[in-house]
Amino acid sequence: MKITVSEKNGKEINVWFPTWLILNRFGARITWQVLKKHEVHITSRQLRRLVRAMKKCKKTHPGWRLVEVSEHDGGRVVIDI
Amino acid sequence: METIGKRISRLRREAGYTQDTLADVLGITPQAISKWECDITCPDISLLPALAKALGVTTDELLSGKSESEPAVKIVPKDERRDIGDMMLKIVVDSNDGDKVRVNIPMALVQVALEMGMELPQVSNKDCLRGIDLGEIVNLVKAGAVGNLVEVESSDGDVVRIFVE
Repeated sequence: MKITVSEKNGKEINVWFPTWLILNRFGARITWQVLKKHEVHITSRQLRRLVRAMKKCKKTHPGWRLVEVSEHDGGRVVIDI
Repeated sequence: METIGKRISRLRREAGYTQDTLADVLGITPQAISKWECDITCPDISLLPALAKALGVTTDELLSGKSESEPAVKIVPKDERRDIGDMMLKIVVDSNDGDKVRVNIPMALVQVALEMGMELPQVSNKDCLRGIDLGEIVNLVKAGAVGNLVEVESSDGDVVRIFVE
């Protein structure tokens, strides 16, 4: 997984880390807490299924760009799985 | 994303021109065309109508890359359809203040999320998408529909598009 944060002044920060670091039980637990905060109520079984599906999608969609946010003032955040 | 230079290069080859022959038609140097195609420079605005005509497209298609004759949504014949698991759902949010958000979710993941009861506003954080049935989008894709399936413009000027490719 690669997270790129570009600031409007041209500074760019790239952070790489293995996807398994996120897509594991601990990551799933954090995701579960975040989803709960956003009133998305899912069971742990469903969440495990979601994590499994994400791992599968990583293989079927190499170079998968999950999110790209561009601000009007030039800032940019990109998450590549 | 296809740049204007790459688009000119593709359209030139599709029209059967070399850089030299296109340069002759337009009355410019082949080096100028080479610079356009390498995205070093852009064509002069006064040349656009002649360039578009030579390449057999409209100036709008030349600049945007969108064909006027190309429908926003198309139905793919059954024998040409890709597996839904290989397809990608794209949510594009262009906000009124110039911010842009792009979220790409593989259809396989959409199906799982749907079974979990997730709705579009939870993904896009846009209330204007409330009421759009994610299940219907999946059904449309299963029926062979691809392209710009949903386009919503909210009262505050935000435009949200959902397309599948």
